[in-house]
Amino acid sequence: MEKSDEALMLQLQAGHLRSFDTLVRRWEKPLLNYCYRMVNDITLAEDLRQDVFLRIYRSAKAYRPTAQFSTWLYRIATNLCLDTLAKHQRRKETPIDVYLESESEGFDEKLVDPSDTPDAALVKKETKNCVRSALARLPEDLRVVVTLRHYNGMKFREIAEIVGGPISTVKSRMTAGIERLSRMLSKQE
Amino acid sequence: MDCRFFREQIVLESYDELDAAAKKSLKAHLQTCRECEQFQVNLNETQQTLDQWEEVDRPTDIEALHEAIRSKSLSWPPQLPAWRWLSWGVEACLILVISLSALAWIGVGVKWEDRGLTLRIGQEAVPEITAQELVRLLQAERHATQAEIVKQLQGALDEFSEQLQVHLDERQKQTNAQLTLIYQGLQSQRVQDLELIRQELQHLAGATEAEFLESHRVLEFILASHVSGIQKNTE
Ligand SMILES: [Zn+2]
Repeated sequence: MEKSDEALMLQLQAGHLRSFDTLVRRWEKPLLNYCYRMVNDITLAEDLRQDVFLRIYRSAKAYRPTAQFSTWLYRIATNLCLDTLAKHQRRKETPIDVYLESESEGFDEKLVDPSDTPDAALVKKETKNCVRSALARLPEDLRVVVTLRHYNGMKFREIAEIVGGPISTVKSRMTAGIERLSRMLSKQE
Repeated sequence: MDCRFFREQIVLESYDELDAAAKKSLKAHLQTCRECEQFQVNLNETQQTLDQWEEVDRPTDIEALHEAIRSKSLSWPPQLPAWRWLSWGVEACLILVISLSALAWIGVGVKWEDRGLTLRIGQEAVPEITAQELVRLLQAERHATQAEIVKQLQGALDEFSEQLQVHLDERQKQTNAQLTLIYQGLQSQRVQDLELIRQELQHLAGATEAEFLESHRVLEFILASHVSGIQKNTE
């Protein structure tokens, strides 16, 4: 039987290190993708993921299984992503989507389904880049909600817990975010 | 109700977060409102487009993560939780008990015994993993690469770790039951016999008489302070 995240945290608290590794393996993919969609830079996202895991480890001592582990994890991740974005904006005044071109091509290629025809693959890749660019231009408070709901499957109630606001705000941000994305994506097509 | 409201409802419905009654009233609105109907179509398209940004999979470098933990001087393993809800006297007792239990648990290790290298959990040896077995393992893998041998050893350690966890879980259950007894005793002042508590704690910690003697003086002081604290409070 698979142990719950909360049970693994309590085991980590008691010094059982393998529980930490199990948590890392369980959450590495959704966490990486969340950070990636938030900051639009895969290398930065990997660093952020490591930071989140380090914080989880550091906070294990004080962990109380009162809240769901996933909301706690995403709250840490959200705060770190927003801090990072703020730092970048202060330092460079450069929109984050300049990273679009700077990433290695080899990485993107892996995402292409080999069964696609060359044309279909190209279209898919272009669409993906449009989505990346649109999401990067979305205001951060909307991006958090859209990403957590659409890509990470968090419920609105959980997102409200993660961002620490009323659920009504989360719902209206989701609607506003989707409307903006819809406008941006239809213009590009 | 205006379309603004229903647009939000359309979004909620698309993520399956709308209750039956709201769904019904949304359906009724959609039958009368072309704009909202179009919004729903656009929403579906947008969501499909969003899905074109597929998930990436880059596993964490666990070794690098452990290294980062070490380099940031984070203790490994993490500290035991503080028992904040208990008064300091009882808390100190519990910490003492836990450290003594931990001492017993530190008995976990690799030791040379008559029958060879044995991994031990507390007082009980685990006969399943012996030196002979490790050697056999290595010999059988003589032509294997170092990585493969390491992997085999890792497997053996994993198995050991599983057993250890079962042991710790069992130990934790016993510990909790005994701690509850001790705590209740202290709280109600029914247990004032230090000797009784001492025996209980010694048994709990799995320590020998000699090992326990050193801690006993400290324990006595803590308990005495605690008892006098209770007496002051009740005076
Ligand atoms: Zn309408």
